[in-house]
Amino acid sequence: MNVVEFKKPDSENKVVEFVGFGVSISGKQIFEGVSFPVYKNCITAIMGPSGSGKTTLLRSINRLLDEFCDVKYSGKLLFEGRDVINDGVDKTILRARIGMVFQRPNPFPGSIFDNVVYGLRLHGVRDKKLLEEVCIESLKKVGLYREVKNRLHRPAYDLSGGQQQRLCIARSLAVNPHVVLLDEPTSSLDPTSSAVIEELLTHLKKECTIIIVTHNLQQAGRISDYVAFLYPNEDLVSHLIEFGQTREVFFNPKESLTESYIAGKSG
Amino acid sequence: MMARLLDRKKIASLKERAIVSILAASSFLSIIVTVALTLILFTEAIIFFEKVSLKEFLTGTKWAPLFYDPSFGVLPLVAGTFLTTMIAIVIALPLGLIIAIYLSEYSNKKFRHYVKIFLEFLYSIPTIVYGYLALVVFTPFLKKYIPVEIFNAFSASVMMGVMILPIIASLSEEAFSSVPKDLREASLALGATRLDTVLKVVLPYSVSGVLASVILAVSRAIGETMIVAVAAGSTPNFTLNPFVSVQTMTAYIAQVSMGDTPFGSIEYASIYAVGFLLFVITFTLNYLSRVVFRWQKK
Amino acid sequence: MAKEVILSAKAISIRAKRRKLAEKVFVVIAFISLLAVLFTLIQLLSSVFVKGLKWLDLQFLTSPPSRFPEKTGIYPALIGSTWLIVLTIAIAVPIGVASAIFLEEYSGKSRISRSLDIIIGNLAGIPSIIYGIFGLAIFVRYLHLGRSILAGALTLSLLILPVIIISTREAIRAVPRGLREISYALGATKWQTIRYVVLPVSSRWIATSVILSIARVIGETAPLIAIGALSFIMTTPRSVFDPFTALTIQIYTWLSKPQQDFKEIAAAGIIVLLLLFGFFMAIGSAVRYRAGKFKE
Repeated sequence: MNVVEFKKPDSENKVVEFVGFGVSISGKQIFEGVSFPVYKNCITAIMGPSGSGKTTLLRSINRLLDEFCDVKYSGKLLFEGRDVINDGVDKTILRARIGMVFQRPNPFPGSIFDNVVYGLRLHGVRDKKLLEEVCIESLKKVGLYREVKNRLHRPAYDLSGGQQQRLCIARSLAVNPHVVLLDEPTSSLDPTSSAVIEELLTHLKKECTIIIVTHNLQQAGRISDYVAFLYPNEDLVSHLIEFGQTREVFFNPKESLTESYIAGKSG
Repeated sequence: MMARLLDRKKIASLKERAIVSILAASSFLSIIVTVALTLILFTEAIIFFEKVSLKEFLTGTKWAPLFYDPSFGVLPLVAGTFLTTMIAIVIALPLGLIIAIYLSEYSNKKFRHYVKIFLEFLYSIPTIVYGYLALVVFTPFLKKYIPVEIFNAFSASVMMGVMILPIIASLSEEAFSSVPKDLREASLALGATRLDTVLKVVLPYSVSGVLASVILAVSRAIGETMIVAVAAGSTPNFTLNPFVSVQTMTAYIAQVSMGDTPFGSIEYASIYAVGFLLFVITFTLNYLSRVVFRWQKK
Repeated sequence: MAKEVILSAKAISIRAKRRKLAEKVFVVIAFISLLAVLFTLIQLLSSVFVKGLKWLDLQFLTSPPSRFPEKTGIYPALIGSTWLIVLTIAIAVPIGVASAIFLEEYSGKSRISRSLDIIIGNLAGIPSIIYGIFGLAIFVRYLHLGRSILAGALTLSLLILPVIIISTREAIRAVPRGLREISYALGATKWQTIRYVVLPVSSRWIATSVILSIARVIGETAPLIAIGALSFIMTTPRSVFDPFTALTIQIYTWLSKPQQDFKEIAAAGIIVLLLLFGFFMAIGSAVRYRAGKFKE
């Protein structure tokens, strides 16, 4: 296994880049020929109808897909310049650099503190003081610290849904990832909590690159800088229809499919 | 025409009511059995306690009901039960957990399916077979290495461990499988291995299910009769030495009831006293198991 | 200044290697444990066959027990067990199915239904030897049935009743709601719906639970000992009021004898027991498997 530090990219660098990328699960092709870059310190939204492989695309970035399904990749998936599919990248290092947040808030059993420092402990950080500082810092980043500072060692399940989701974001931030993947992070939350999280993401992009899968077109329009639009063809295999700056894609789409999708959904 | 139809309906509804009463009566039988069972155990035990004080029964360290000068301290039987159960759990718990973890996290669906069938079979094998294996196969094998008595607690306990292993393995596996998938994914996405995930996320999440399975297994081990009756002997021994003969509560009941003990004698009454104690213990454990199991649902 | 931990790839990788090694070790240990359990069982059971097979012949199957190892046999025990199975199933299944129907279809979610739930759960958890001494008091002693087949079958019926109720309820619950609604829509009464829709649809599952109960009855020993079925029986029973012996009891009797030969004869008895038990388990599992497929 190669131990090579992923280079922190400079500003022009593409943190993630899909090059003719395709995935098939148990022999069924989900999408193919997907190529687009993800730029540093930007929010890139992946949108498309249900079943268009958005989540699958997201989960292949940190190779989480490999864990539960029989996956075959094709093409290239570059993370900070290295192909995470073919270059024998250590998945543990990859996952330490890429945080992930899920559809439903899923805190671990245990205290708020335990949740936030889970990744650090996993990677061998034992220094209690350090853990505490990072915990506080991560909670501050997601605006949760003031709400929970007196109960850091209380069960995480006591928090409300919106708070739990922010805790999960803090958990993924604690290891200082370069990229955070979010899989419809607000789909199970009420509008107020969703708004808090959206606001949070626009701040967070200063620190790390964000890739978000969303069903919600308005959300994509509000917070993302770039959008990638996936759509399945008649064989139910998805392709990238359009990629570009959000403003461009929303107000001046090149493809008629994109236009009708956006019109149909938002109109 | 209309009247006829109504008439028919009336008869049908009468018939239906009769059927429902029969059905209801059948289910109330369960209540009757419960009441009768408790009552019988209690009244027969009362006969025993008219002659032996509750204090002597619960604190006495000598159980010799057939002697000329009998003594009825139940502690040796309790110790025998405790000893065999503990050894069985010490064997079954780690093995059962390891198998449960392997099945829920590592094995494929097909393999899990077949192992679960095997475990079910293991659990339902008549326990007299385990008793035979302990006495005729395992004890002679043990004798080659350790000086043990022909009847000893250890052989019986090992077989008992094999018997209750499926309870722990199956129920724990079910508890693990009920852990939401995205919880596992979140852990893996942070760079954890599956083993890390099991130890730090899955186990803590399903701890009540595992605990419930262990309590249930303990209850089954305490209530098991044939393995200990065949292989652990019939010497009420107030000891924790596993290599000598002991007698459990269940084995005592079996021993006395199979002899031609006359109804009404003190020995006859004593099996109900011991049975009542056994009933109370297993009832409490089963109840506890259910309560603990319900924690997880919260 | 924000506090951050910069984890170097090297540090992560070193830790990760250790954790992956731990995982590999665990998987190996787990697999070995599984094999060990399987292997031990096969080893033990094969020793039963090695010891018992040479005593297992037609003479063994057709002779009554005897003081002499070479003359002894299992015939009365086989007949006794057959009587027990038939009687127990005849008593327990109708009552069990009836109460399952009542609990599932009629009693709703009332307080009585919930307490019945708990009571039946408790009954299922009572050690079998306690059913034995209960049967001894109530059937043998108070109802004057003596140490007869009927007393034994009644005792075993109580033992398997909760199991039958629980599994039948599950079977009934699995019947799709749509089927019932169609029946009601056609004007059927509740009982007609149960009789002509619910029971036929769930019959395979109920059959499974009955077959598995038979396996249980074959293997049960402790309650029979408690009600006193341990007599030296030479003849086969002629009516339900006759004393009896059963397979498991006969095996236990041989095991209690000090002579080595009788231990081997016990092994021969166990082979017969396991074959019968395995037969019903296999049928039960097969029917359940088919029923499961049917459901899909």
